[in-house]
Amino acid sequence: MIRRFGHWLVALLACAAMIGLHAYTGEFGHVDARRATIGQTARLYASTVVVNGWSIGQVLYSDDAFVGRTGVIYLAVNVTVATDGSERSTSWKVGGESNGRTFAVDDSLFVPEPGFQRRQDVVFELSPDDLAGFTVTFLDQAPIYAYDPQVNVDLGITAQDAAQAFDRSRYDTVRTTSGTVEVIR
Amino acid sequence: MSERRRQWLAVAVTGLLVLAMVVGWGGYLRARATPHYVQVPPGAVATPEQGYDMPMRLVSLTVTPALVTNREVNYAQAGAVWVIAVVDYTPPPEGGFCRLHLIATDGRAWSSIDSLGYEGERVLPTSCSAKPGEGTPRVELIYLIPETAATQLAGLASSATAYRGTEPFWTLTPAG
Repeated sequence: MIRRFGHWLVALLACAAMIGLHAYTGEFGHVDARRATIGQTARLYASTVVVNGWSIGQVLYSDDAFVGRTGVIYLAVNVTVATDGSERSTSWKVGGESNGRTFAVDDSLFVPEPGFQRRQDVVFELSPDDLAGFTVTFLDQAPIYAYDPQVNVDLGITAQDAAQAFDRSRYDTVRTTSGTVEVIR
Repeated sequence: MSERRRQWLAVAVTGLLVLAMVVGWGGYLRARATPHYVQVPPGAVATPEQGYDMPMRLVSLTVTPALVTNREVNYAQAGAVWVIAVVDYTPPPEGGFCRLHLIATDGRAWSSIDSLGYEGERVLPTSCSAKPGEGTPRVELIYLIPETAATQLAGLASSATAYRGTEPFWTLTPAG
């Protein structure tokens, strides 16, 4: 029997070794990306995240302090992070994607301790052309190698929405908050 | 025993060996990756920080809605309370270090908040920065937790939950 299936066994072992090696070296995608929309609560490890809304403008104030003025636009995305699990995760990565480009946030997100939630804004600086189809990504990384959860929230901005928002609010002042912690009720 | 039966037996034995290895390794890796909290007797000295030899003792664990500093009384948010842990430690020659989690009996863990989390200053230091014969080897760690968790507190344990090992996570419990 071994003689008959031997070469299949070798092939199977080689495949398993290849998969293992790829996973170990990080060449495999190691992110479980899920999609969500505005208002939809999505789970990461010990926390949930929900995007409440967004606004744009060219002047930015953060917690009533002037931050800057831009030649492009600021996009402020309001999110609520609630930690209902047992331990606050320390390695969250928030970013943005649009038209195949990736965007970094100005300040990182604050992840609350167990039993608390926090409503706060994250800010991107981008060209008005990248507003349509903008997606905010939240990645929660485990302290060791793992298949980590990522939530991609499509803000649902069509080209028409983007044009209207740009006409209406391009000179607006965006006022953001880093929020305060509240007990989850 | 026929040739065919002997081959099947070899396959079965190999399969069982593989299964035993997988179960054994899986169990060991799981035990290594899961923090195993063990409470020390009330007020007893233990070394909670993994791989760092600094004996510590939890003197008291106080739950209060108001945190008094030299500047004002900081009231906790609605539904939350402060927990003040006073810890004595014996610093090693290179100086002290502590980052302890407050652990609840259901496994929830809170990290201590730094002095930016409230207005004013407290009397005791908030970090284990003393060296032998230099500074006060007593620290006050402050936590903010939901008040519903206040009756479920187990004590203080290492915050290094990414640490891999099978030794227990010693959990300091308050004296008295």
